[in-house]
Amino acid sequence: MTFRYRSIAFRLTLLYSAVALLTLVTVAAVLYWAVVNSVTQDDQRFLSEKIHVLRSMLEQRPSDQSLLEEEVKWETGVLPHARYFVRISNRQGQVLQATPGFDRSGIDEANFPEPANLDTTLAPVSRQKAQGRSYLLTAAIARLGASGADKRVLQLALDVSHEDIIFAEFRRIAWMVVMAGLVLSAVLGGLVARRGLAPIRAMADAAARTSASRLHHQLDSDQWPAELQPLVTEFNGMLQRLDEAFSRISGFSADLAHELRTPLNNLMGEAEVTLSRARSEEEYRDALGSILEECQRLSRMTDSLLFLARSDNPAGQLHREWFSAREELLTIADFYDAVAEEAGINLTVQGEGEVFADRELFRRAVTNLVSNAIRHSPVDSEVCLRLKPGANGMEVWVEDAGSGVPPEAQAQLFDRFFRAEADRRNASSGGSGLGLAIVKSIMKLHQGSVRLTSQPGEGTRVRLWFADEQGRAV
Amino acid sequence: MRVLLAEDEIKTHQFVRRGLTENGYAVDVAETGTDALELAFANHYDLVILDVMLPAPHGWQILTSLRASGSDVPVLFLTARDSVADRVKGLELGADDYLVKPFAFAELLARVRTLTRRRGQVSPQQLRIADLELDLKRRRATRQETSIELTAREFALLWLLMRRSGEVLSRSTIAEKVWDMNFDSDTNVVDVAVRRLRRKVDDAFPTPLIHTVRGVGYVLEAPDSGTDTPQ
Repeated sequence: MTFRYRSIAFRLTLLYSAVALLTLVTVAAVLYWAVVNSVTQDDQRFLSEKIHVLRSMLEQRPSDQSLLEEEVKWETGVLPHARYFVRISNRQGQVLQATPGFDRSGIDEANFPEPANLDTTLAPVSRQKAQGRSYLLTAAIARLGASGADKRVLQLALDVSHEDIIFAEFRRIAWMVVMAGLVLSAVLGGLVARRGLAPIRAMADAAARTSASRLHHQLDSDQWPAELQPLVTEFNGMLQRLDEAFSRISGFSADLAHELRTPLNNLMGEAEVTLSRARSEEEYRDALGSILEECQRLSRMTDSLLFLARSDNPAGQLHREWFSAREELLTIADFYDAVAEEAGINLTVQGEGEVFADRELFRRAVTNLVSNAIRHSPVDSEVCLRLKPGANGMEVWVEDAGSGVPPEAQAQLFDRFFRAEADRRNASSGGSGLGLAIVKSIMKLHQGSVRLTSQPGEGTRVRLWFADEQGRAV
Repeated sequence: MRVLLAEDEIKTHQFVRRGLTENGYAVDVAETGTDALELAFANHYDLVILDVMLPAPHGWQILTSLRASGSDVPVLFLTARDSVADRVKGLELGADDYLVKPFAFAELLARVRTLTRRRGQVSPQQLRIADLELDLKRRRATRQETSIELTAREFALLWLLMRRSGEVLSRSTIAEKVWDMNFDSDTNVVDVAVRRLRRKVDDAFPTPLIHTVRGVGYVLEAPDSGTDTPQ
């Protein structure tokens, strides 16, 4: 049942039915009220007319007892649906004339309203049920003779039992109409809701048809209702992102397997050849050392890959803080000092400022760039680490005067396992092909950016941009 | 020195046991958590090396039981999952250090030495290996009475090698101790720095003191110290 309550179709049906019920009940109630009101007004007018007639008789022909008796005793039974009783009393409450049967009708004296004054034409009305019949009661004062010295009290009781039957019938039919309407609106509402929600089911079917191998099958964007358009757009966007991520991962896995083949091949070959015949201790030592070096290369590669894999779904692993970028760059320059000197490269640090970053990752990114820059620089050139404070962040430039990167390679440079042609042949002397990919993912973790500009033959400049802490004035 | 090695991977415990035994440690191996706990409670160990992924009870539970029983034996744990949370958990449970697989044996040996070293040892102000002398206070290195000019980093590097003389130091240990670069950075840098140091310390003298251990790292050793060190 909880599931049904959660269904949109069920809720819509419930709402439709509630609205239908409210409408039908309101209409029926208004109609009933109108009918009852109109009938009651008719009765009241009838009673007022009778009072008017009696008053005229008492005023103009006070002594004509037979006329009065005619009116009181016989006129009252003429209309079969409007039987009524009349009673005429004097001011002391003594009954002078009364329709036969008035006493036996069971109408209580106290239920009559206060008698209407002479100037009131529409007498007040009250109701009473007695002996299974309903009565409309009214009372009025009448003048006896033109002088008006003596007064009479008129009491009229109109039998309205037949009206009650009509009203009851009206109510019965009204309830039936309301109930039938309710059932009808529930059924139709359910059908309408199901039909209205059909596109959602169709979309679910479309989503169910999606699988890893069919990610490029997008939903047709114009066959859906306007309300679902944003959902379709989002869904297609998600499919596209998944498709991209998927092809990236499968491409990456292929690259990875390929990259692992070379060192594994070296390991196997080296061990196999060494074991194929007896060798000197020196040769064994050499072979083991070479194998160890290859293993270390593999180990570094797995470390880098793990780092990249983790940075793809960052979960609170970034510990950003403010620190002096210049000091960090000096430490890095110091680390590379000997290497640069050996290679005949002048390594300099320029500019100052603070940066908001994860210190270890900052160091790792810059180190990777410096290592690349030194590797690709000619003798007697300069590698410069430059700090360029910006409006809302800090730029770190690593510039070299090396061979540069050909334009066609620049776009792929930050891809995993990409190596420029020259680096390809001897993987152990060059990098793993992951250094710049790591730089890129570090910058992505920092929500910063990395940009490379290079003129072949003139040098390369890599710019890292670290944004400031949100809300900190610079 | 007696070491308990709790590790279920046969190849791993074989090479670790061999390496440690050759470096003067008595090693007991436990292949399951139950054995490890039994051995740990039955004997006195100077160090426990614990693989986190041991079959039940696993490494963390052994560590917890050890600490719960009041033992303060140093614990070094080995893990193949180097997530920060994992490492923090081990240290919080009372481990003293950790190593992430794959690790260099030289690295393991260095950590084992640090953990089993007697506490309260003061760093000496002067070091002497064969005819090489290093004075920390005056920042001076002399060999055969000849003063050697060293840069600050070269001095730090020589100090590290002399202080842990006889111990093979991996490139990443050297990078970490001398330049405070605590990730596996460009290890080529270490090679260059050692080469330059060698030029100053060894090249002008008949007997070299700094040796390369291929695939492992570097060691500074007096020629008569007995261990056979390859070039």
